[in-house]
Amino acid sequence: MKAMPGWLLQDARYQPRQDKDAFVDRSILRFLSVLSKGRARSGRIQGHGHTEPLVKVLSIIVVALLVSLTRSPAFLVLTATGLLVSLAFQEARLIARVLKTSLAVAVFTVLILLPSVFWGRGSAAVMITVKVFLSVAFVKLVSATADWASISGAFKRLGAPDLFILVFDIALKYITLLGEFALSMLYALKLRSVGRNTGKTASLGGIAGTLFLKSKEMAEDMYGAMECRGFTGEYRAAGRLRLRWRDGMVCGATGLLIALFFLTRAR
Amino acid sequence: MIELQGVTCTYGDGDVLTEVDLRIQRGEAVAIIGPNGCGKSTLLKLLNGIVLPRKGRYAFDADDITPERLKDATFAKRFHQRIGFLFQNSDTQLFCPVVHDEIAFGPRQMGLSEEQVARRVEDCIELMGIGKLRNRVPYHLSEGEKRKVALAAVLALNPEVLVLDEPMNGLDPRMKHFLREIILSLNHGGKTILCSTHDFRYIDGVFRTAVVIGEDHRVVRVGSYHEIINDKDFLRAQNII
Repeated sequence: MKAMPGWLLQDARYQPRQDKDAFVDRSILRFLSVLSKGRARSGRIQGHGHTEPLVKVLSIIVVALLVSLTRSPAFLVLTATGLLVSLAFQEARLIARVLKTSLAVAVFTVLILLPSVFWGRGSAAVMITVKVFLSVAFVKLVSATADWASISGAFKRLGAPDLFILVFDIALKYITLLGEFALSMLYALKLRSVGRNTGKTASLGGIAGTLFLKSKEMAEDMYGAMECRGFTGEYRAAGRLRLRWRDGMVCGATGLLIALFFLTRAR
Repeated sequence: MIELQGVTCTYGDGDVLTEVDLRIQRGEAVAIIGPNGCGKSTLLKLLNGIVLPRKGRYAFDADDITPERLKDATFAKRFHQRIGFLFQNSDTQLFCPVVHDEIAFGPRQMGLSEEQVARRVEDCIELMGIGKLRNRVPYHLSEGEKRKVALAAVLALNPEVLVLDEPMNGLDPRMKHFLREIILSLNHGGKTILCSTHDFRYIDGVFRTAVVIGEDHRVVRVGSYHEIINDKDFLRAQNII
């Protein structure tokens, strides 16, 4: 091995130069840390009791459909009441997560629809915002109380094509995995950005390129591993469908909502 | 040089480091030992300012490392120059188009002249024996080659402290032996070395001190590396061997 060069044996007398990279640092790192937190959470399913994922997925599709089709404010109020009742059975942290996400999306919707208010379409803007809020809140509630594998199984039972389920499954696994990988790369970039980086875009481009190569490699490896374990492109729903009294209640509530949809529509 | 007082780090709901007290002097070579998931990598990330403590104090050369302090870009950049980090997964550390640019990335930012940058790059390339890789794309190198390039890129910044996260992972015995010699030489050259590892066979004689982190994420023992590594009952009790 070659002897250590002289400069490596002395402490560097170095004073960093100013550079404008704080915004890039903060925004990208925050974005990716959210992805990373998502992964940390994904292993722990919260919520009380257990409802069959198939029932949850079916109900959420029906609720989203009815909420988007309705023109009745009364129906939206009744659906919101249903949401409050569903949330009342959950843990405080889960309620906070659901409300945080759905309120953020609702605020964003308000901002987008703000011009229509000035054109006299205030009521339509309110209706759309409430519809968005309710749909997002219900979806968030389902996603927070069901693990992704069981949702894939529910899609299979609903007759979704295998290719759709495969893409759904792989995308979910790798969004968080690649998010963490990208986060590590950004940390590495940050740790080595010790002065003025004149090629910030090139560095970020390098990270994006490596990420693309990595995702391709990981996807191929995973598909290979699945094939080695007997996967032939066909998904099978694991386990038998076991309906409990809770599932009956959810089905009943969904049925009630369908009835209310037509009742409020008739008026 | 490095001082941790009652440091606790949290990830998600749980602690990943609990009430850690640690003092590391300049020029020391310290091995961080512990079972999987005990918080070794978090400790190393903390030392580099990637992770910040929820509770407790971290001081580097008498400067408290806090979120507010790291917002001062000049301070943060100087801090990152003084403490180099070799990631466990070298893929995450390499983002330049070719090996030469990867090693020149840091020195170029430090305002060195192109001549000085070229000298540093060549010195690092020679030191790591990666002359043939100069114009290769880092992503397509072997695991051992990537590790060499990543280490060369860190050394090009001339850090005072070198933090290595499981550097022997995934390497062949020859490469492990090479890495051991490099770590030893760097420490003899005055660099402070902190290294997490499980590969005790290949690091014999490198470290004087060992820090053992238990499964409860607390430091359970700090002492002579030789004594700790030969205390088989203790290592078994800690699920390390």
